[in-house]
Amino acid sequence: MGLLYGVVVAGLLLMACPSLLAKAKKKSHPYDVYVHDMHTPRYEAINFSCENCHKDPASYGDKTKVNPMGCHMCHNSPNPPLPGPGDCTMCHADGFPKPESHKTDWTAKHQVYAKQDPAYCTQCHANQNFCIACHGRRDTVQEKMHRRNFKLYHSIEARANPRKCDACHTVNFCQECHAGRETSKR
Amino acid sequence: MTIRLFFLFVAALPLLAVSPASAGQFDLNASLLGQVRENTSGLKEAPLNGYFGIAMTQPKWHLSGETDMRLFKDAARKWDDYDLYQAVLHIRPLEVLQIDFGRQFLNEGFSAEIADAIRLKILPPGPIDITVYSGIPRTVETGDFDKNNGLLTGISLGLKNVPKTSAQIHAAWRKNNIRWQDLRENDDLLIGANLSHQFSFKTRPLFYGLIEYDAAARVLSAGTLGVDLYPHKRVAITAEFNDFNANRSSDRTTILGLFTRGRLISGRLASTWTIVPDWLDLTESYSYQRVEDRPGLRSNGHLLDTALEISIDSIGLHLTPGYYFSNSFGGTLHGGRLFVMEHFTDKISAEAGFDWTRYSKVTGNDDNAYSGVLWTRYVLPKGFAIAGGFEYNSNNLFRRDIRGSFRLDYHFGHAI
Repeated sequence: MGLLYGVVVAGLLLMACPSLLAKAKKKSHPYDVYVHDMHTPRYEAINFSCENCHKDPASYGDKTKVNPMGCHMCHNSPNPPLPGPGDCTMCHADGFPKPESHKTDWTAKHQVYAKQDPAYCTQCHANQNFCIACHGRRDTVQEKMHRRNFKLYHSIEARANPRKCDACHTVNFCQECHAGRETSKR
Repeated sequence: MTIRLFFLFVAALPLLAVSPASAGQFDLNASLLGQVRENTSGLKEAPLNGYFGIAMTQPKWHLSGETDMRLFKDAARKWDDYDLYQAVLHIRPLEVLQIDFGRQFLNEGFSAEIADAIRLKILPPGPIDITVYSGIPRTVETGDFDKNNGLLTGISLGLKNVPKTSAQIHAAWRKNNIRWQDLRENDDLLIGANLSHQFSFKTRPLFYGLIEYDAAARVLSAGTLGVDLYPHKRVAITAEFNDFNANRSSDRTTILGLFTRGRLISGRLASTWTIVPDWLDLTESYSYQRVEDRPGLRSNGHLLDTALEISIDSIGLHLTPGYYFSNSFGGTLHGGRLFVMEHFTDKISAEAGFDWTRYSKVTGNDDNAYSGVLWTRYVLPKGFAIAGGFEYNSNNLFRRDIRGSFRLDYHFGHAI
C-alpha cells in the first residue's frame, strides 16, 4: 500500500509543479488554425460553394457560426470533393467538441442514434476504426472499456444487465475464463 | 484466409495512388504497446501489441479504402496472434450508389459487428435511402476470430432530408447452419424500425424509439423509448425505457440468453449539470433492471455512476472524481475513482487513475480491490509520440501486482 500512495502522491506533485505549468497554454480552437487564404484557390479550382461552410450568413463576420461540418467534407470523409489531411489532431489539438446528444450517458444510448442515422456518426467518425476500437479491438496492455478492478466484480453487473455484455462479447469470451481456458491475466 | 485477405488489400492500396493528376490522401497510423508483468502462476508475461492502420482516398477514381490490424507477440511465452479488423474498399461509381466491399464494421439495423461483407448504399434523389448488405460476421474473442457466424443478409430503408427527424425500417436474415432435416434451424429473422424527432419548443425534447422483433423465434428482442431534454443551457437529461429478450431456441447463445430465462425490463435516468461553465460539470447515470433470471422468478438490479468533471484549462488540468454502485442477484459493490489528466505543455502530458472497489458477491467472495495507474506521454517530432506507464493492483487474485508499460505511436499523412 505504501508504494501505491507513493506513486499517487508523486504523480500529483509532478502535476502541480509550477515551472511546468507555466509552459501550459490555453486551449486552441480549430478556427484558430484555419488559414482562409491557403484554402481559397483550392475551393475555386473545384467550384466548392461558400455555403458549404457559411450556411449561416452571420458566419461571414462571426467565425463561431461557421458550419464545422464544412471542414469535414474534405478533411474527414471517405468521399471528399478535395481530400485534405486526415489527422484529426491537426485542428483538434486540445480535444474534440461534443455534440449536444453526447452530453448525457452517451455510451449507454449511442446504439439507438447509430441505428437511426449512421451518417450522423460518420460526419465526425468517418473511419469505422473508431467503432472497432471499442467493439472489436483487443488490447492486452491498457485499460480501455473497463477499469482493472472490473474483472473482479463483473458478475454483479452482468447479472443486472447481461445485454450490455452482448454489445462486444460472445459467450466464448465468458468460457475463456470460466471453463478454465484462460491464457493470461489481463 | 484472413492474412491472405489483408496482404491482398495492402497490395491493392498503392494502385489508388497511380493516377497522374491525383489529389488523394494517404494516412498511416501505427502503435506499439508493451508491458511486463507476472501472471497468476508466477510466470513472467511480456505482451506486445502492434496496431497498424492505413487509409487512402483517390477521388479521381471515386475510390477510398482503409485497413486496420493487430499483431500480438509474447516473447516470454512464445505466443503470436493476429487480428484483421477491417480491409475495406469504398467505391462510388455513380452519385447515387456507394459500394463498400471487404472486411468492415457492419452497423445496419440489428448489427454492430465486423463482417466480411458487401454493402450497397443506394442514394436516389427522393426522400428514401436504401442499404442492402450480405456477409459473414466475424467475432474477435480469443482464439475465435476466424470462426464463422453464419451468413447475414439485410436491407434498411431510411428517411432523409426531413429536418430534426430520423426514421428507418430494417429486415435481416441470419443463416447459421444448413441442416437438411430442418432448413430453418438456428435462423434469425429480424424485422425492426426506429424513429426520432426533436421538437423545437423550449426544452428541445428529442424523442427516440426502436422496436426489433425476431420472427423466427417469435420474440420481441428489443424495445426502446427515450427522451433527451435540455431544460436549461446548463442541464441535459436523458430518460429511457427498455424491454429486451433473447431467442432461446437457437444454438447461437447470447449472454442475455445465458443469464436470463425471460424478459429484461429496464429504466434509465441520466443527467449532466454544468455547475460552472468550462470548469465544473456533474454527471450521473442510474439504471434499474428487472430480470427473469430463473423460470418465473424475477430479481432487481441497480447500476449507478456519478462523477464530477473539473477542468482548469488554463493550466491544462482535468480531474474526474467519481462514485459507482451496483446491486443485483450477483451481489453488491461500492466504488470510488479518481482520474487526473495534465497537459504540462503541448508536448508533455500525464494521466493518473486510482480505483477502489468494495464488493460482496452471492458466492461469498468479498474483497476490497485497489488499482492505480500512471502514464506520462511525450510528443516527438515527425509524427512520433512515446509514453511510459506504471500500474499497481491489489486484490484477492494478486495481493501485489506491479506492471511496467510503454507505448509508441506514429502518424504519417501525405497528399498523393
